[in-house]
Amino acid sequence: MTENEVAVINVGQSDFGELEGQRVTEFGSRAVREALLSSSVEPDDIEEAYIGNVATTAQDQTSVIGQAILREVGVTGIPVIRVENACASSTCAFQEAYKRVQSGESDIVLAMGVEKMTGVPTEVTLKDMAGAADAEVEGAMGMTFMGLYGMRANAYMNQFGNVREELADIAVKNHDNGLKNPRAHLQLNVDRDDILESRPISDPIRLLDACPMSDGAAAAVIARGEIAEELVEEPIYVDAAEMLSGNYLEEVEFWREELDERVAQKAYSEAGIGPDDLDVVEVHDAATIGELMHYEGLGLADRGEGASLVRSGDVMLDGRTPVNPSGGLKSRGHPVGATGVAQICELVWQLRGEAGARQVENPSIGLAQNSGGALVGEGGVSTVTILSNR
Amino acid sequence: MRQVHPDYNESSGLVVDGSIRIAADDNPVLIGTECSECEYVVFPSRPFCRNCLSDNVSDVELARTGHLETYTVAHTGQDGIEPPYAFGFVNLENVQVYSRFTEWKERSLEVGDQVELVLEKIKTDPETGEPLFGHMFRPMEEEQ
Repeated sequence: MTENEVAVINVGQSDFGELEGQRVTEFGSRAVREALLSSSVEPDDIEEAYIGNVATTAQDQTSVIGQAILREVGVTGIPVIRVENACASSTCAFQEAYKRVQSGESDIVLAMGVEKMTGVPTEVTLKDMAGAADAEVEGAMGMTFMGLYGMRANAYMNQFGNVREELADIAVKNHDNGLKNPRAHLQLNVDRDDILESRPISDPIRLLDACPMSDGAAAAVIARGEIAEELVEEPIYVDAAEMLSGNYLEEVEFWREELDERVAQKAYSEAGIGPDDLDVVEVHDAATIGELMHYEGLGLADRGEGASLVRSGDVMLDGRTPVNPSGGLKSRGHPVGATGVAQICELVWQLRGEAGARQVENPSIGLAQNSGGALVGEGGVSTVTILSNR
Repeated sequence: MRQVHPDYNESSGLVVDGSIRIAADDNPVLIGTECSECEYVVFPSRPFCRNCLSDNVSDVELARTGHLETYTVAHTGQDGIEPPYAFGFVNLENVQVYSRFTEWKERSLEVGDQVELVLEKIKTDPETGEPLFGHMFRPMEEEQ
C-alpha cells in the first residue's frame, strides 16, 4: 500500500447502444450525474476533470466536449482536459486523474469517457477508427481494425493450433453475461453455431466475433483515500494504474501480446499481487481473439494456453477468474472513448457487490485491461488498472 | 510472369511516394532507408534513423522476396478497394512490411509462404478517379 492512496468514490454509466435522439452531451451528462448523485460529492467539489473521447471533433461537433458535458451538471470553472488515445482514451483519462490525486495536486477529480458512433455516416465512423492505425502505409493500403485481429488470429492458430471453437465460446460467454447487464448494447441469445455461421468480416474473424459500434458514456469520481473514506461507505482503492506504448523497433510476433505482458508486469508489481490473486477481470475484447490473447498477456494462462481457460470454464461468470462479467466490448458495446471507464464502473460495481444478476461471488481484487490503436501491427497503447475493496 | 502492372508508367501516382521504383532489370523494388551508423533498416524511407537518430542514412533496396508472417482476407473494407481483398505482413530479411496480396485466390495463403514483390494497382484515388499504385506481394510458385 502506498502513502498516497487513491480510491474511487463512485461511478456512473449511461446505457450503451444506439442512443437515437440523444445528443452526446445528454448521455454524457447522465453518466456524470449518476456518479455525483450516488455519492455525497457536490459539483463544486470536483477540482479537475479528464475526459476520454476520440471522434467529436472529427464529427464536426465540439472540440470542448468535456466542458459541454460538465456544463450540464454544474461542474464548471475548473481545469478540463480531453485525452485522446484511440480505444484506450478514457482509461488514459482515468490514469491522469489518478496521478493528479496521488501526487497531492488535487483531492477530488472526475474521469470520464464519452463517444457517439451511431447516427453519423458509417464512412465517418470508419475513418475515425482507421485513424487509430498508421495512416502512411497500412491505413492507406486498406488495413482495417478487424483485419488486424484477423492477422493476429491466423498467426496465433499457426503457432498454437486451431482455437476457432473456443473463440466462438468466448463470444457466447460474453453475450450470456451481457444478457444480465441491462445497460449492455447487444442483447443476444446466441450459441456456438450462431457465431461460427455468422458472415465473415476478416478471416477468421466473423461478424459475431466482433464488437458493435455503440454510443455511450461512463464516469468515475476519485479522491484521496482518507477523503473517500469520509464520503462513502465502501471506497474502491486504485492499487495500480499503468500504461505503455509498443516498441515498434523490432519485428512483431503477432501470436503474442508482448505489450500486455510488459504493462501487466508493471501493474502487478505496483499492486504487489499476481494474476492468481485476481477475482474479476475486464479485458479489451474488440474481437474474440483479443480476449484470448489478453488471457496470456495478463498471465492468466501461459502462452498458447489461453483456450484452456475457456474449456475449463475458469473465465465463466461462476469460474475461478471470471472475465468480462459486464459482457465486455462484445455485448456491452464499444463507444471507443467510453470503454475504459466503463470497465472501471463494472469493477467498482462487482467489488461492491452491486452487479445484480451478473455478480461474481465475493470478489476483492479486480483488473481492467484496455487497448488502443496499432502501428505496424503492434498495439498503440495497453493499459492495466487494478482495483480492490481492501 | 510480369511483375509490373501494365497501366503503370513514370507519371502514375503512388499511394506512398518514393516507396517503390523500377530497378535496372525492369522489375519493381521497394525502397527503404538504411542507417550507416547502426545498420537499422526502415520502410518507407525516413530522413534519419529512428534507432540511433543519426542522419547518416541512405536509400536501400529491400529484398524482393520474403515470407508471409501473417495475413487476413477482408470481406468488408475501405472506399476504393473492392472486397474481398487480402493483406498482411511480410518479412524481408531485415524489415517487416505491411502489404496487400494478389493472386491469393488462385493459391491460398498460409503463414510462412514464400512471397514475391509486384507493382500493382492499389486503389482508385477518390478525388481524381485515377488509379494509385504501390507494392503487393504474391505467393511464389512452388519449386518443382
